[in-house]
Amino acid sequence: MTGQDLTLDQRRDHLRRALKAGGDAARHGEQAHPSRLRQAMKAGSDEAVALLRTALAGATEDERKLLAKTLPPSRWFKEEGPTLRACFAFAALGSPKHVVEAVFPIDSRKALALSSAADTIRQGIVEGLRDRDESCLYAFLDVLAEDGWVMQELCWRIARDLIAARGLRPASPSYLRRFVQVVSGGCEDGGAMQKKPGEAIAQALLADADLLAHEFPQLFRVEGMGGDYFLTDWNADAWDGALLILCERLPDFRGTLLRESLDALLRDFSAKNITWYLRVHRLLDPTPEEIAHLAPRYCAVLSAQPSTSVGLAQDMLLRGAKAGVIGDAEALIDASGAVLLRTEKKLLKAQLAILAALAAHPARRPTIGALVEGVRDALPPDLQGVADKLVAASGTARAAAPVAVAGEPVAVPPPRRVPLPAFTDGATPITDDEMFAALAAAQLEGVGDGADLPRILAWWAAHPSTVVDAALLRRAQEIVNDVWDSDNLSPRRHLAALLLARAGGAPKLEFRGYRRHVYVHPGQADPQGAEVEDRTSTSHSYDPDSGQWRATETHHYRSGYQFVPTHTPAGLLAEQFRAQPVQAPLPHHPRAWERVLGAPGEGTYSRELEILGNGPRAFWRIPGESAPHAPASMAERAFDVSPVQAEYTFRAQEAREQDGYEQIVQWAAWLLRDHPATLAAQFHPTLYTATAVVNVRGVGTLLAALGASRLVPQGPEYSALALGLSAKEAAHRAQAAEAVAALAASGLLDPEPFAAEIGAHLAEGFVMAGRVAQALADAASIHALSGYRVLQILAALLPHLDGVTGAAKLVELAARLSADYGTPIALPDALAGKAKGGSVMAVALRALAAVNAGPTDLARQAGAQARATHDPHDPQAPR
Amino acid sequence: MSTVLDYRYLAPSALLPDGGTSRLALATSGGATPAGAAAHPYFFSGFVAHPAVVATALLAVARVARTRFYVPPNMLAAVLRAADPVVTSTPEGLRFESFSACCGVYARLDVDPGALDIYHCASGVTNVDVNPPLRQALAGVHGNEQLLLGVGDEKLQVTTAGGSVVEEKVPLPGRWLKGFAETQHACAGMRLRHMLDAAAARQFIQSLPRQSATKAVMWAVPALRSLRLASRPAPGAVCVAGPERLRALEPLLRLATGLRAYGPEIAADALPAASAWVLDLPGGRLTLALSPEKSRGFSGEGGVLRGLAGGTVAEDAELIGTLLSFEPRIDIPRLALASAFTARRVTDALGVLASSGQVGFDLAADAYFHRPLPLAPEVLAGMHPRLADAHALADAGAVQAGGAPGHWRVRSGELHHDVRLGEGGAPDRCTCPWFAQYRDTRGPCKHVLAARIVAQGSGA
Repeated sequence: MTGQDLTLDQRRDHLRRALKAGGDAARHGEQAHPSRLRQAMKAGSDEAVALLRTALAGATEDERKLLAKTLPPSRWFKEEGPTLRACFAFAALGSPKHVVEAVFPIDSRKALALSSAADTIRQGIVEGLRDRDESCLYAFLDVLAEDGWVMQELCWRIARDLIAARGLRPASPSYLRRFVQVVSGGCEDGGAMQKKPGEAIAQALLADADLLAHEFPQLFRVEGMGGDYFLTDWNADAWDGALLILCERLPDFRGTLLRESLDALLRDFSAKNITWYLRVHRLLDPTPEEIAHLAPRYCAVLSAQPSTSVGLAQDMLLRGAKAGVIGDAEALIDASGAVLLRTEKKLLKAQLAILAALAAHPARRPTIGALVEGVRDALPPDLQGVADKLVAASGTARAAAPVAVAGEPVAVPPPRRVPLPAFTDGATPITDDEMFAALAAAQLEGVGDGADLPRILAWWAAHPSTVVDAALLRRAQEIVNDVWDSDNLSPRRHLAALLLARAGGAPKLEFRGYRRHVYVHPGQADPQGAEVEDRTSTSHSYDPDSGQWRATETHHYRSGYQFVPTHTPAGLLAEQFRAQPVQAPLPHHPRAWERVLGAPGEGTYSRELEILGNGPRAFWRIPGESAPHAPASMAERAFDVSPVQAEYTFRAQEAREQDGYEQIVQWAAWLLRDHPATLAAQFHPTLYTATAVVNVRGVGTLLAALGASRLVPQGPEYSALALGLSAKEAAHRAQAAEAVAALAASGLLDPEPFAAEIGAHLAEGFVMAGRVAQALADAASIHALSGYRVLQILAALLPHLDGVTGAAKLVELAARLSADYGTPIALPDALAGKAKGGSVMAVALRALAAVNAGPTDLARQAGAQARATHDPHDPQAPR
Repeated sequence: MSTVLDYRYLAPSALLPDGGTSRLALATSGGATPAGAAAHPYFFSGFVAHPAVVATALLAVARVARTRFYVPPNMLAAVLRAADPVVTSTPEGLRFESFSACCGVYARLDVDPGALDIYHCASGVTNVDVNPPLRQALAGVHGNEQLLLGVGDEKLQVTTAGGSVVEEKVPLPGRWLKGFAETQHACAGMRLRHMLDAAAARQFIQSLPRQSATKAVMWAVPALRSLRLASRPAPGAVCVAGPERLRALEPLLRLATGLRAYGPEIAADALPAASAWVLDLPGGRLTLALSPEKSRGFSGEGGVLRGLAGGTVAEDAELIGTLLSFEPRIDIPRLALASAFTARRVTDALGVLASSGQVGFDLAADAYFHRPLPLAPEVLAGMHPRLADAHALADAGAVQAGGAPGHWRVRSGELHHDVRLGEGGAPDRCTCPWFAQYRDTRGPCKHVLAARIVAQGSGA
């Protein structure tokens, strides 16, 4: 009977015999030791392996799993160490992951002990695995590549032995990454990271024909390898050198490399994963003949998604076009259409240059002219001139642009100078316990409106008999216990505590002020009011001999927190849960504002907010007003903006991290509904934060509240809107645009002071011109009057744009709106000198200067809407 | 729950030069035909009128399948082996469908029969292989070449009768499959809201942000020239959650003739909703459906649960399912006649079939089409755990009538929740935290479902 025909029981019997053979050498439960290992390796291993081989011949993977229960190979390996038979059995019966974890451990001490038996391990593992299913072998190679990095050299030899023995063709990203690392010489045994020079890499590849024929081409075909760190960064220069050496020494290598690196760009890999292919192709610097040969592939790359791919193809095609070697120019012209509809200006410019080079041949001009004519209007203004030349060269007459009717521009009335009628409170009072429970439950889930909190609190206070059901109470308990709220400012935690209080289980939540971290050096006195504790910190260093971390220095100090008293809106809201809640927005009274530049107060940002920096910011205050004396009323504290500057860092941090911040802003917006300027001033730190980072909460609520104002906006509101127009998140910019459009619709938006604020923020570097232009364009698209007011804002802004980075975007928008509304804008002196040349700014300024006056439909609509804002009953008033 | 898709192809799909023609041979794996299951069906052979459109759109469909539009925190954006596209063949054309690995974006390319010069066409559905070399070849297809498209290959079936040469197992989460199916039900509730011509479509798509915050939800509303993304819902708006996901249409913009936006009815206080965008192309169209939030797949929608919880809709669906045979447009009056159901019952049954992967919904035709996903039947079963929980509550006697009509008290663990079943279109309500958080936007909670099951049983 051959091994192939054995039953499972017969196989088990063989395994037991193999276990007995040479068992004397095993040392149960002891660490592998070189001397013992040598003993174990000598005794009976050959006999045992022969028995194992017989036992396992032809066994399926399922049978091996069952046999592994008879002879747990991992236990055997652990007890006996790396003997030939233990390695063989483990490799033949174990799962790839278990084998790799045990035989090639990450622990460097264990690995060191095992490495003395490297040859035995190699032989046992390869022989044990040799007859297993291919899927198991591929899985083993993957795990080995992923986890076998401490004994990389041995692992790699085993991998190559197995591949050769079974004719495998591994192409997983894990295996290929290991291949690159081994060839690059990184992370070799012993842990030292070293780079190989190009010659060494070339030699490594030349020494193994299989590697060059199989593994190397896979680097271009498997997604992820084009972004491999060793190829693109760590050892990139050496790989460059190696490829050039290989090109010299192997006759067809260069051609293959050119094709592969180009084909890789067509496989729809992400931009990150094509970095190396671009590098390789540029490194080879194709000759005009090669470009001519590869031209169809370059044309295909023009349709690729990553702009870097398109850029490479353009560079090559431009060289080919200039050298006159592009065979199928029609195909290139056809492929150009895909590029000309993209938005990256660099690509558009390059493609027009290619077409211009092709147009040197008169027969191609009509096709080129027709193509360019079709996309001309979608091109950026400064490229339209280039396009026009190509169209003109084709002999095609450009379709004449519709001529605006000349005449006087439509007169659009100015904004209102008086407030709109006051708000009428539309909040429905709570009518029963069920409605209360639904509103409270929404608050607990963090989806309720903070403006509902006053009526929730009022109902609760007025109905001592209201019973909250057990489910809601349990949820309240969860909220109190589980929501992270280190400052005790979360409205839903306070609400939860309130609900629990009536049931007799009230936790104490107290907001004591913003927490400032303090650090007291030895010998220093504790700051007043600080709560600090003795602390010890110890530095450690790793001792490679013992494999242990050792304490090297111990440092004693005192640190803790100092509570900064504040009456921030968040704190005022927290107070509402303990005091008589405010039941109506604070009534309006006029206040004059002053803009000051100042450094934010002391505080510590989290890492993500460090980008905000400590440079000066614009703050708003009431001239001559100081902080109210205690005990101040709720209204006095809500109006007080004097601490905003000092509390800037805390408030910025709060906007990112505080649970329930959205509800806090909603409540503040309700409370200060008739004081939008105060609201804007209080939340300036939030808006500054939104210009620099994403995920700032409450911004939409704040901007919507400013847009819904019934009062004539003042400096703080315009300043807040300007910051909103430059928010980092597109959604916040859209909210700012909507707020601007809403104010325009109600007739309250005054372009002059708004432009002054935008200009000031631009000059101070707080807002970015490109973002502002994009958001203003968005606002202009909402309704005709909004567009007209944006045009007026831009007109007022132009004199402040000299020297502002990205100002051309604003001028471009001004030129477009100026034409749309038939309302020319005079070029300010500061910019008039920049209207010459081919820069974006120059082209935009010339376009602006060329606008003729005349009535347009948009201007008529804007005029009608503006008139309606002075008469709220006019049906044409924008809604 | 995880699903393993087991692909076995007779050969890799390839684009092969064939004289002056390019032959796009799409290999098939598994599937269904009117005659039953098929291992490697041969469905279609014919020339396509717009090779560049088909090639570019097919690449876009395959790209959606390979893309994670949202990567949860603490998870590496690994290169994934994605599910292969599903193709449905009928005499009215071909449909290629895919679903993103993050379960939030669905794509479908419909190729009209008028854009196909058909040599062979059989009805059915199957998976097709779109491998990296094929993607490379498709990227090189240009408009003026002849392209012969084959879905399956009769010759290959004969020559490789011994077995498959390309085998791959793709593990996918259960929610992927559930989402794929649920998308169709979501689309059935949408209506056309906006139409843009080619230039406006280009302007709109190219103006979309390239990235957005995880919870970013915007709303497409009409602007003076095109559409704009508003921050708040308004009647007529179409939700665009994670707007950058719509940029998947970008490679096709140069070929597009227009863009249509579909969405459900939106109120001024609406919560995020799914939307669908149909890019019109010469000879076909590409539909892209977006989940209500970037971090939330379609699988959480639960829109069909209310129908399943009560009445005979599950049984109706079973019967309607037997009457379908790869109709490219399901004719509801005809089905109503054949089943002796009202049109309303047929529509409800189709909703159930949609959410279990049996039918798709074509927004352009405003009709369902028959497309049983080529998956093992046991995979499609048990896709509604919330409903199973509700049945468990009902069976355990945890649902008691409340003090008033439509009021129920449901015991769930140690707690009781008060449920009020809405009548005459009024929404259901429950006092559980899940309902407080999501209201009615993800289908009813298990307590409402349980109450409906009991109410239906008691005739209340």
